[in-house]
Amino acid sequence: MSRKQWIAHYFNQDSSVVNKFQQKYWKTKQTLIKVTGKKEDKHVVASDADLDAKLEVFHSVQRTCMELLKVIEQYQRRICLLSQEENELGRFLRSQGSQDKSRAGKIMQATGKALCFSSQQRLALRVPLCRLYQEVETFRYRAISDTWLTVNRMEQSRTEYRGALLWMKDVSQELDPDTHKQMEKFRKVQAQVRLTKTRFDKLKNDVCQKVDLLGASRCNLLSHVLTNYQTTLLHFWEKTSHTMAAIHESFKGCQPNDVSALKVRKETLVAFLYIYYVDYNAVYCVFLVFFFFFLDTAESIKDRSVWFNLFADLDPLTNPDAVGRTDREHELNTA
Amino acid sequence: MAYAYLFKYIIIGDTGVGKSCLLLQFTDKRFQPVHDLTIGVEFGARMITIDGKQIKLQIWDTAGQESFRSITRSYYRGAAGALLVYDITRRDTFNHLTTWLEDARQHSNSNMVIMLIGNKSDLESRREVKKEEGEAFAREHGLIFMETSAKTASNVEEAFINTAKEIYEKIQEGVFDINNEANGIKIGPQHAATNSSLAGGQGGQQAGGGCC
Ligand SMILES: Nc1nc2c(ncn2[C@@H]2O[C@H](COP(=O)(O)OP(=O)(O)OP(=O)(O)O)[C@@H](O)[C@H]2O)c(=O)[nH]1
Ligand SMILES: [Mg+2]
Repeated sequence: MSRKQWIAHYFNQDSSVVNKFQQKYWKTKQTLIKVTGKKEDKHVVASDADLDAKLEVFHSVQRTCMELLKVIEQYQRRICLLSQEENELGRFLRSQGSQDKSRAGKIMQATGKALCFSSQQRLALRVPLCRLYQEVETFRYRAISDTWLTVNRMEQSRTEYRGALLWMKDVSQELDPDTHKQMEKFRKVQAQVRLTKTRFDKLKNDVCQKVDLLGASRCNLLSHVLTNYQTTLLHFWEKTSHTMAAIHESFKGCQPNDVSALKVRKETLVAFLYIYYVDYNAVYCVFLVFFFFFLDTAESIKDRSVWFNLFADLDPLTNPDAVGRTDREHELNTA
Repeated sequence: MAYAYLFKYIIIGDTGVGKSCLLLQFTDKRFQPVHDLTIGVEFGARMITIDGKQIKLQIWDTAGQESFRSITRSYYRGAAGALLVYDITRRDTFNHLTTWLEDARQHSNSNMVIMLIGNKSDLESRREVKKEEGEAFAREHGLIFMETSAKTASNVEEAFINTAKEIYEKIQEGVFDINNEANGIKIGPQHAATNSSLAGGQGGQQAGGGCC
């Protein structure tokens, strides 16, 4: 090898080192732009608009799955609590009813029984909910984390591509196709842009496809498992409403002329309202069933307004301590 | 090869309108049916003769994809002529013309000659933009207009050569300062001496006429 050849060879090698170094430099520069939130080239950003929209969908799937898991957990807990409270209320009514030899006592007993039954049936809801929880959890571990990996790789390649574009922009400032040296440099950068672009375009495509698939499979999962839940819920409602309806039927035409019985019921109710109001969200509906049931039996009673007042007091937004108080007291309280 | 003048051209327009194909047809008389996306810019050159003078066209075929927009802006500098291309079978490429024109006017010298080209005229059955619409746009913005086909080579020569003629006339009129390379015109090595009178006369309106 002549001296001249050797120098040429040496510089060639050297220039590939320089090349690598420059690649790193522009990639780092792009990373910095991204990390520091500096304004990016708006055309480059605009050309990724479809990708960014897909990423938005991905993040929403990610976020809402997390939220769904939390909600299911809370819901499960509340079902348990509600069931417990319902059961206690039922047991209380039964024991109170057994001491009351009047017809009202019978009604209380029957209602208590119905509530205990409903409290048991309610727990059946947990099975499809557990299933939903597991499926969503699996979905998160498998599908979401798999997509997440692809998204990460895509972001890496995006940084590399944008870095290469920065580099190309830089060498384009001074470019003359008739100057050999400049062209040689430009070709190198062009090759780098082509390479990183090919990689990025492929991953971009992968991400878009995966996100579409992710959305579709979540839809599928939810519709499948939620149908299960829906069926169980309907089943539960059917059973309990059936029981309630049966009680209602058996006491039809009953005219509680015993005012003291009504008094007992009212006091019982107030006590319960006070206790259960703490978890009013859940008990509100139980009470409604309860209330309408009694409302019907109390139809002929003059002071039906007592019930209405009670019911009005049950506004979930008011202070639980105000339940059962008169309006005047209430006004004083809120004043 | 020796030339009297060198004109720098730039080809711009949306991706896929056929910029690279027009260049290839003009320089190599070939057609490339597969879309080979241009990365940044590609170059082509060809000699033409106008008024008995050899003129070298140095053509910059830019990338139309949006991510290259900021890069290709630096290529406008020093261009004497521009071919602004749209695809007659794609209405959106026609709709984007105003953006392209704004870009060109902003980043090039004000004397740059712009030729509007409606390409793919061979695909008459799929036409979405009427020829009259192209003509109207060109008239409104003071451009020259032509419909071409890079596939059949129809009007391709004319598009490049008519642009050169227009530039040449502007030189004759003294509109272009040919000694300022920022105008995209270089004087060829052996012609530099003969043309110096022309260069000197660029300030006056009539001066160009006599020298050729
Ligand atoms: N039928 C027909 N097809 C054409 C014509 N010109 C170009 N094409 C086709 O259009 C596609 C795009 O052509 P290119 O010249 O690569 O497009 P471009 O404008 O350079 O695109 P970018 O480099 O991305 O900016 C190719 O598949 C060509 O074969 C034409 O005149 N007629
Ligand atoms: Mg091209």
